Amino acid sequence: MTLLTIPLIAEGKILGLIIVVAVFLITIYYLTSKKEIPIRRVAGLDAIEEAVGRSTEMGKPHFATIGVATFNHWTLAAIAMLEFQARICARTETRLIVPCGGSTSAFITRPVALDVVKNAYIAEGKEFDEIDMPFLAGGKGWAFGAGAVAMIQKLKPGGLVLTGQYGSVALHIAEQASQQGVMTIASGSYMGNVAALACASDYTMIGEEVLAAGAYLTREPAKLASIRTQDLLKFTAIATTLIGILITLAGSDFIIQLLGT
Amino acid sequence: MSNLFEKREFTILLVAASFALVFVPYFLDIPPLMELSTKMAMIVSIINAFAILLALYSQTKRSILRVGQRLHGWPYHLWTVCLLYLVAIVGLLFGQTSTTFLFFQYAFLMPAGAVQYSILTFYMASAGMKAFRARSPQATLLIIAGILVMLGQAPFTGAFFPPIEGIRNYLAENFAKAAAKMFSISMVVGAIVLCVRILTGNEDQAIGYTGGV
Repeated sequence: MTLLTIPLIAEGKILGLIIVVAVFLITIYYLTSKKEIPIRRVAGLDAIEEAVGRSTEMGKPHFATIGVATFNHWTLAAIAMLEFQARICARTETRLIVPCGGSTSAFITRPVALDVVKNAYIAEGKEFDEIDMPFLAGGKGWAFGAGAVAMIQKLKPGGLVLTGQYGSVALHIAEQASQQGVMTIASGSYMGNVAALACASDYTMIGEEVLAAGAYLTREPAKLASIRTQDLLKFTAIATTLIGILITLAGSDFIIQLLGT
Repeated sequence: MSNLFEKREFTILLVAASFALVFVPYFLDIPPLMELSTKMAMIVSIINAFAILLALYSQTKRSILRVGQRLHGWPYHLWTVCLLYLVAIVGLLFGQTSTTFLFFQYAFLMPAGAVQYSILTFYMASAGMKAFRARSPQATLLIIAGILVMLGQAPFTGAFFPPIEGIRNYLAENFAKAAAKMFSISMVVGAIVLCVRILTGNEDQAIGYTGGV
């Protein structure tokens, strides 16, 4: 049973709609206000530049990935990070290798990633060789994993930024990279993955840290400010949880009904 | 006309329209919009299906090139192409439930997948070894929790010391679940904010443009 029903709005989705609209409005406010809002440092994102720099100093290639999924938020965030890495690689003349594949969706995501990398190189007055974005496997994530691991073992890159959506194959790649002495920055797309990657990688990005990458890496005040919305909502979620615990312990099901509205 | 399609604003507009077609029918009860949204999802599925054809073409082209030039690992590429077409032909002729088609599934794909999955166990152990060092109070807590969960998971320990299963369940159902929920919440919030940045043109790498990074 829900607390409220409004004609036209689907039952049980009123609160969801309010939250989404509120997030939209707050984010747009931050984006347009251009206020300088202090944002906490994200170690994983800060370390990306270091990883590319390490590859440059060692004279080795740098590896980056965009995941095996279709166009979802993880892939979009991974592409934003890829562009950042491509720019630094082009500037420092470091070879950037982006192994793609692992699913049929990769046939759709790879051309976009290729376009972004090529444009980033052009912006720095360089040219990207398409051979450095190999398509390793079609439908099977494991086949992609084996190919990526083989490339890491053979080319021994200086750094690896393992982003995008992966299943258990992420640990396969991250642990092999770690054993090869590669500086690894990884992001997990589900809790179990994060736990395993935290053990295998030098830096791990958790949850929304990955999704904030595109804005965080630009260092532009307006985009950075939009990240504040995420923090605001997280605090709201924590507060709701705590209040919910207290109210439920007091014997009321108000919070359950409210969240079901 | 082609210039219009190449314009960044046009792409953003297209993304916004697609977004509205999915977003509005999810929250609002408007049947015609829902129908349109379903049709759009179908179009996406068809595009994905065509990607498989593209995959076939791309893989064949790449492999034939490597075999023709006798590049490193060319025999594997020859093997890949032969198997690829053999499986496709068998699937088309006999169907996906035929014993001939399933033979390829059980004789090649499953063993290869199983081998890689079992290798993962060793990787997990070696990764765990690096992480599980009591260097701080938090790491010590992690070790204790890890040991309890692992012992609770093993059937032998449960048989000799039944309370361990209760402890494991308590840790998994409370702490682990709470962490997973928090992860989901933060992920959803991050995704919405990312969506706003894309729709307002503040993060255009996602649509193939080189933005401000």
